[in-house]
Amino acid sequence: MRFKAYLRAMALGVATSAVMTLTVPAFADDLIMWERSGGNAGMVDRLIEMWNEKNPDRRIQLTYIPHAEMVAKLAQAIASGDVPDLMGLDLIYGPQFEAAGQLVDITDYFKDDPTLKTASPGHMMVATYDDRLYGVPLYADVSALFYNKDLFEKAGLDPDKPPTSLAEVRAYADKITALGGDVKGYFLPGSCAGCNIFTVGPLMWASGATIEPNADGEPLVGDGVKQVLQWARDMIKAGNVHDDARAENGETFHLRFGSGKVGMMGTGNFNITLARDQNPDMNFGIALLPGVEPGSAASFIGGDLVTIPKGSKRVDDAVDFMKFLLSDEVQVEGYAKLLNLTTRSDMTDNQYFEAEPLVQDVAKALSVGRTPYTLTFFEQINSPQGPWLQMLQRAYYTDDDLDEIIAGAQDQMKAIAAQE
Amino acid sequence: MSAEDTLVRPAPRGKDAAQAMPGGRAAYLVGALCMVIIAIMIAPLLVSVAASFKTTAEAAAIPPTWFPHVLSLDSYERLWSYQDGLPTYLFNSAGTAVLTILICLGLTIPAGYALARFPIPGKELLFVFLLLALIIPYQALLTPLFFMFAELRLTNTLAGLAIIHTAIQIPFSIYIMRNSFEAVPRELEEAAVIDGCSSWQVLLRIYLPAIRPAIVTVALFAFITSWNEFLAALVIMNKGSIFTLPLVLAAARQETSIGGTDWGMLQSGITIAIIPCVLFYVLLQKYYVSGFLSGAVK
Repeated sequence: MRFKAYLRAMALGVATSAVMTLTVPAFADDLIMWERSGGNAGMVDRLIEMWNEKNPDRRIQLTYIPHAEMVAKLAQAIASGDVPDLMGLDLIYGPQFEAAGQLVDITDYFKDDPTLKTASPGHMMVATYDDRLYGVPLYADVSALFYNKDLFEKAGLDPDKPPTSLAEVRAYADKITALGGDVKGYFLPGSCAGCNIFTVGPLMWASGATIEPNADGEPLVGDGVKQVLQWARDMIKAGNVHDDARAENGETFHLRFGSGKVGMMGTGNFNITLARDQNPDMNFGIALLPGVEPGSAASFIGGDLVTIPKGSKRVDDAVDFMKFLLSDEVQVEGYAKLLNLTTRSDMTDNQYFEAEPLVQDVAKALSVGRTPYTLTFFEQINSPQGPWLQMLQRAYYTDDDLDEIIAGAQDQMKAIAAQE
Repeated sequence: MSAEDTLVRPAPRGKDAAQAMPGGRAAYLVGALCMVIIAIMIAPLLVSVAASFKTTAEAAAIPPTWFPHVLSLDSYERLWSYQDGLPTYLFNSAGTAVLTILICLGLTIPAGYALARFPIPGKELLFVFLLLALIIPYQALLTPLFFMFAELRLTNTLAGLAIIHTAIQIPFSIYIMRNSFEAVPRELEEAAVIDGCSSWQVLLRIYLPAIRPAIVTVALFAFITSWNEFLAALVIMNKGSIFTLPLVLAAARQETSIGGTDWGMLQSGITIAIIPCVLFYVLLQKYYVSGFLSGAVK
């Protein structure tokens, strides 16, 4: 105790007046919320604003935490007891935090809540651990096939008939690439694990394959994995992808489609407004990411969950905020008005989506979407050094035997899962 | 800015100058070489500043343009109104830096005085012990520091952050201070004592004016360390309203959930962050050079 008292006296002695003037205390009644940076900031800002207008006595103070530091920062906050009351979290990391017992179980608060029945199934799956609920959707990002209608017309393709199978994507891409100039038919990011699980993963799912370890612990199951890898290798060999795509590590992925030089590419709903800002004259459409069989489709449902970290002293208020997010009014006047996906599937019939066909198109992806459920998503899939990206890079840029490449990735993913 | 930039030899004068410029061919060569090196050093800064004035679309263009086609303040406007607003973050950064300078000077001036001028038993050992902190990376100490600060309620305060920044800066500052005190002729102190000065008066009237260059050097380094520091700020700050500029630049630049950087905004942030460092350096450069030399040559 004496040591602590001494430290305190010293610290205060050095900077007494400074502490008084330079600390900015939060109002006692405010809730503190953290959200990762790099998520859908515009959407989250608006949601908080709507809540604060309605709840002046319990406003939410939002802080964006640099994305890459989020996991460490939260672990540290929980250890010290200085936790936020609410936390927005990349949904993919949900199971990891739930398994570690770092989130508040909210099952009983939502026992009779009808809004959960239609909430995004991908979000709900990763928000649930051992049949207990730990979060609700904050917003959804889904992947889909964006295609440039202007380039379709130039290449003699029907802009109202997007491809419905991988073979068609290949045939259309060949025609668009043949336009020459700097235009290419398709885009495959060569150094970005996350972009690939978001946009190439669904091609495999749509072809009947699975990626993360299934119930039997087997990763990369099904012929679809090899078929998609072969397809991608052929696409690159045929010159349908820009050469600099090999170095794409995610930094400029979101700008590729809006450049107007890519005929088709898998990307997310966030790209609608980005592409509009970037290239207002470009005419584009959205279809579902197809598989090998004509008419097959899949999508990656990403986005964020909102959760309550263990140690929050405002659980009741935090749960109210969660219910607020799922309410009809916020679904329409919050999400839909900003042309974001509603997080409940029964709210897609609204005036804002009617006025914007592209959002309706991308919303269809929700019904074929899924989210990988694994406690080691980062190590297996998202890591720049992980087996998922290694497999893709070997498939894209070498002539190694595909069976051997897949077997190597399977071994590594199993080894990672076994460490858990 | 590194020390090398400032160690330019004074221009030779008189007889020496005549000898140093025979024909001038070598001089021209050296001059040209210097220009090349300066160009290489300054190019990234210029590219960064130029990019900050591009429109949002142009800043993100692939392939990038060299110079802005249209001058635009888009990026600055976005940064200005990010979350709590740029002024808040600038205030936090500046406040932390000023506190760091004050605490650092407040601790190292007496320490340097004592280590240089008082007969402390084992003071060489003590001095080396203080310098030992240089070889321990502060990152390794952050976890225990964080827990201690949480208990002392110093997390989420600029003062707390300033204390950490001071701790990072102290060994180097003590080294500079002690050497500067030792470089002041002892006769001055003796004369003051004979005239009736106490230790405090000697410090205030004799030493402080004499070690002004060292004070400037310590202040300069403390400022730059504190202004640029990211990790400790990330660890001890939990609220957006108290973030410093480096934290905001890290958080604000990301655009989509799979990555992507708002290049224009990042570059405008970098440009704004550089300005105080350059100003501080240019304004104090004169003192800084002599401070550096007084530390080096006893």
